Amino acid sequence: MSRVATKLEARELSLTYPSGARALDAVTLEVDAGELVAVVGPNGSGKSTLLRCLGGLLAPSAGRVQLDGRDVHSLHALQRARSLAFVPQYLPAVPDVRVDDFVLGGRYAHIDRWRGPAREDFEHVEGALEACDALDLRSRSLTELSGGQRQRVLIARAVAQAAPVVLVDEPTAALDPAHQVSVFALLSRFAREGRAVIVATHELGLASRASNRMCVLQQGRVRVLGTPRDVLQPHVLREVYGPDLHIEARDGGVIVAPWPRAESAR
Amino acid sequence: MSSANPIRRAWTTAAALVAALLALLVLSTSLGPSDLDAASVARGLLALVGLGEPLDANRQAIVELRAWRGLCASGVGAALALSGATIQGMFRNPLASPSLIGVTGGASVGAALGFLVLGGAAPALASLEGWLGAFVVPSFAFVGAAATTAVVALVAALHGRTSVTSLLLVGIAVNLCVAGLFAAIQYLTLAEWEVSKAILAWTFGALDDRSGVHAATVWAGLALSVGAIPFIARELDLFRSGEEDALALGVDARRVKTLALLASSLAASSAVASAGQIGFVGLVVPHILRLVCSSSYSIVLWLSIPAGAVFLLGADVLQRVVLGDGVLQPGVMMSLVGGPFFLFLLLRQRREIANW
Repeated sequence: MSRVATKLEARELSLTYPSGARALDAVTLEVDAGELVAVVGPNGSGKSTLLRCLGGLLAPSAGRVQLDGRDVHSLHALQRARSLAFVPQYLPAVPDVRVDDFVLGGRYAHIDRWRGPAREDFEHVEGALEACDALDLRSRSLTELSGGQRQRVLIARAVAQAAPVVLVDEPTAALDPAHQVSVFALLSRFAREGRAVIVATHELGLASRASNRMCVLQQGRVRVLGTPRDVLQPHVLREVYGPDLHIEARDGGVIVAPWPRAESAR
Repeated sequence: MSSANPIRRAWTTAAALVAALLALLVLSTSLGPSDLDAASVARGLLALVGLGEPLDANRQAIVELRAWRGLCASGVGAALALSGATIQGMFRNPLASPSLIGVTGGASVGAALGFLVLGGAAPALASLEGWLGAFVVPSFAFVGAAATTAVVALVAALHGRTSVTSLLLVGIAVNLCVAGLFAAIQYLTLAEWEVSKAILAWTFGALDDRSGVHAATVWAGLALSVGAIPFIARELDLFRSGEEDALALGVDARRVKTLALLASSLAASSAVASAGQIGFVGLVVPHILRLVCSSSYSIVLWLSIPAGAVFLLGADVLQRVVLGDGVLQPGVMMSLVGGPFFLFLLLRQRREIANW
């Protein structure tokens, strides 16, 4: 990567929908280059909303998001896309395009309008597909792919975007365990390479192994923010997710699995 | 975008279309009840662009009339196809077209209002004679088209993404409003036969009695809207996976939608201003291109210009050969061909329809 942004900061970020529902409530979060931060919390706790605010796709009602001291929401779309890559949980519409053409879309902010894609852009596409183990899918249509393959391609497009900050919304929702592990390994690698990575996820165990810090959201507020070990305390988890959990510290991480108590199991 | 194959196919298609267009223009100029040999046609055409001696007044007039007809038909076809392709990209919906969502209707009302506002000057304007008519009618048509597109875009996209159902329903509503306005204007102009007749002729679409001003109107409008293509083509491709997704990749979504709206309205309204309402070209041509060539807007937008020109001019030439001169108005002809084609598209996509 040519430019390395050092810091993405959200200060007192709040978002209230026109209906009056409060999606985010004074969220403050900093992510540095080289760091992987996992945002966790129950469904509807504001994870996706927070990521979209951080990515400049959704304007907050109050507070601000700064990238190296510059307001993300005042950046031009092109400038923003060169600094921030956003991987959505799913595409609202899946176009019938070749995988490599789709990944080339990630180069939009880098491609000169009049000259078209340069050799460098195709190299980025190639490298990104390789990094995401999707090189063999390059000439397939996006519509033919399985959920897991499509997720890898979506991440590859963000890699091709070559942005120093990567925001990833629930990347493992459609994946089998092996693919979940490989996606988190990939995200860790991005962080080690110097990117700032923020991932919203329900995979608490994998996140605890891969991330430097975790942020638990509950009803739009930051409930706890800290190292995985500090955050994934049984009393915190049971308060946030309810009592039906198996929690076990292991290998420097914490295994958290849905596990009904005897009276809930029937 | 990356592979050479679709791009090479696009260039081949473009070359074939341009060759077909030139052949059709020559054929269109030589067709008609009064027999003119090829040499006379060529001499007349050269005189038209200021080279050499014109034919005698009668025969020169015939050659010119046919030339304007050919240039109008091709320009109108090109403008409608470009407008249709742009609208489909903007609404992320292959079933959208300028006539279906009311844009050509809006342009017609605008143009008819232009006649009405100018009152006494209207009969002269109906034939677009003089600089005033040449300017006023297309401008009113453009305002009508842009206003309708904006209304459709706003209402259909009220809840975020534009669904097929809401788009088509809004189109029906807008077309009803437009038809009502149009009927009101026709009623108000009943007393003035010339104006009334001119306005009525618009609903059928007209390619006979076209003048150089008509041809200039549509080609000028087309040229201006073509200027938008480099700024919207790649962006509309990225729109296909959703507007927010395109935004995240760096697309200035608002600018793209504004440009697309202006370009599609300008193209559709200049077509309407020069030949009245002709439907379905804007729906059919982009579809054929997607089937034959590529679904990328970077290709479809550019190719829709020669393809639309060949489509409408070809249809006009064909009906003149088969049915004789001026038997069917092009608007009527396109509805007869386009209506069933639209039904065919709906049937082909019936699995999708089940999910609307």
